[in-house]
Amino acid sequence: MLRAPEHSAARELDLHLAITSDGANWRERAFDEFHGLVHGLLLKTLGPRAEIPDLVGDVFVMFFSNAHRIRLASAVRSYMVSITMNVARREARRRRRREFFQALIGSPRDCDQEPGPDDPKAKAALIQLSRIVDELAPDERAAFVLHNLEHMVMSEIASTLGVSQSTAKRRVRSANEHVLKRVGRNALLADYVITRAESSNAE
Amino acid sequence: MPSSRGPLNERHIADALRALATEHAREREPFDKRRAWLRMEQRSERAAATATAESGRWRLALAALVFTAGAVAGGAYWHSTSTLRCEARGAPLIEGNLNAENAPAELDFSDASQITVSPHSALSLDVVGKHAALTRLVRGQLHVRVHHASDTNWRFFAGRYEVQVVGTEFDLAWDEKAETLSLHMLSGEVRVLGAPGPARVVEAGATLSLPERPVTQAATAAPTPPATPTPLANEQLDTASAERPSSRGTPRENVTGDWAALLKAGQFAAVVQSAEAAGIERSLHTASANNLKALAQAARYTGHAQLSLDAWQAARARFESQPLGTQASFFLGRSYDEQGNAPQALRWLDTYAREAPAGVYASEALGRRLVLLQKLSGRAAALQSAHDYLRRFPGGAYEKTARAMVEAE
Repeated sequence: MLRAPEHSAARELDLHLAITSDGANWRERAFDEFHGLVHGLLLKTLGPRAEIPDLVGDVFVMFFSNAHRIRLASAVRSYMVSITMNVARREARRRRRREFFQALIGSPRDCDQEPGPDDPKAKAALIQLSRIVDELAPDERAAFVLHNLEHMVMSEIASTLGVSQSTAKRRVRSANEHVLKRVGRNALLADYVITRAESSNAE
Repeated sequence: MPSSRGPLNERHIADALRALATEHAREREPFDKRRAWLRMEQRSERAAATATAESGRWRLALAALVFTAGAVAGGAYWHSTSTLRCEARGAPLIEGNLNAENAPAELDFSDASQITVSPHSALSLDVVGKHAALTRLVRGQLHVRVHHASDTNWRFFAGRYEVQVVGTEFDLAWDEKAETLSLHMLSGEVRVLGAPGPARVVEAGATLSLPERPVTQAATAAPTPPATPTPLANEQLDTASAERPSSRGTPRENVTGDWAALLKAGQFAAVVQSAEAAGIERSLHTASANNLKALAQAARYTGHAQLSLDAWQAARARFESQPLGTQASFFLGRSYDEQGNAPQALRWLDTYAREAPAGVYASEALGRRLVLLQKLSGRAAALQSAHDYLRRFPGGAYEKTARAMVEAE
């Protein structure tokens, strides 16, 4: 969930004060506060890849350079989400270009990061789903993640991605159709997805 | 499609993907967090320059696409500017780790370099540049062919030894139990660090066994400096003919040089060697805060657990009132924890939690403390800490552990 829980609103206010007054350790505090959010967003958008920690680092470098411009405490979190999604889209575009040229010149594909082996079925499903999401255009992928995985409403998605609400809605719909079609073609994956969705809702 | 539970819909996919990704993120976060912080520290120093370079590369790539005659030329350009990539065959490369079981495995790199991993061998790999990689041979044997380029910089670590490569072919074996390294050169030459005495150059046709076994042919004390010598490398070569201190005793050199830069460049063994050359005790007592931190980290990476611990102790003692002193208490806690010394680990993690309640390692310190408390004093004693952890770090890496304790109350 992207919205800050009640108990963290006070922390964000405190953090904003520290940022604007260049208080002690504000970078460390911001890193601690938002690492989970940034890491999760990048992982959901780009899949389990080896470069995720590097991209997280890039997001925070950008955040630290510009955080002093944030005027409202309530905007710190959404600013962080905006930067993260920009980095994710940039990375997705970069990957697409790279894969295009790799295919063109016949060089080997990048090493995929494969998640740990503790639950092979879950890991295999995550990789397969990530590959399907990978097929989406970067802008659609960002809209898909924010809507389906982070439960953002259309106005928030539009604001985060810098597009109109109708564009955001169109991207979400198009992404949903593609992902549903692709998952539906794989009976085993579809079966796992339904089981997993039902069990996670029951928890 | 499953028929018994209704058709697949968008909500199913969203719920499943969210659950899977969240689960994976929880597993990965503690590891990724450290790497992200390191990356951030490196990037923040040159963020402006990097932004300019990124922008330049974008424009260049665009120009190449528009103005080159065809996509092949564009592809070749992109290939030449991309970083080193690899493909694993015969065994999966999981988060940089490859474990060959009963069959050999191969790593093919985009610059035509290749590593063949013998059965029952294990390695970890970090690509750090276009022609640069760090490989730690955990056990077993490798056949290595590194493509030569002007900026090739490959490092192979095995125990305390480091093999530096700029383009060559060789066999490398490491016996983790006997702690012996065997290197057989097929072509080119490499530098070997970590053995008593100066850095050695091993040339084609030669075999080197470490420790204590003579080089059969061409391995000699380094007669020439490397192509791009660092200040430290020069220092090492300058003293190559002298006896190297074998213990923590007599210092012979000043504790100088930028160990932090060496650490960033992946020259872990060189950092430890430099400290040894200057005398470990002296290094611990006189090295700057940055160098001491670099020594502690390099010692950990090269398997010198005690030296790492000593360096953190020194950092704590000498820089107690500074950020490094506070950080040292966390790393001391973690080191003791890894060594199985729970009381000491707990003591230092407590210190860190007290001194840096909002520090960058606060979440991990509290989480580790929670586990240790439960181990040492039982669940009841850890309960309050579990509540504290859930209140302060909801969604943290130790959330499951803390929640399990609270729910079992």
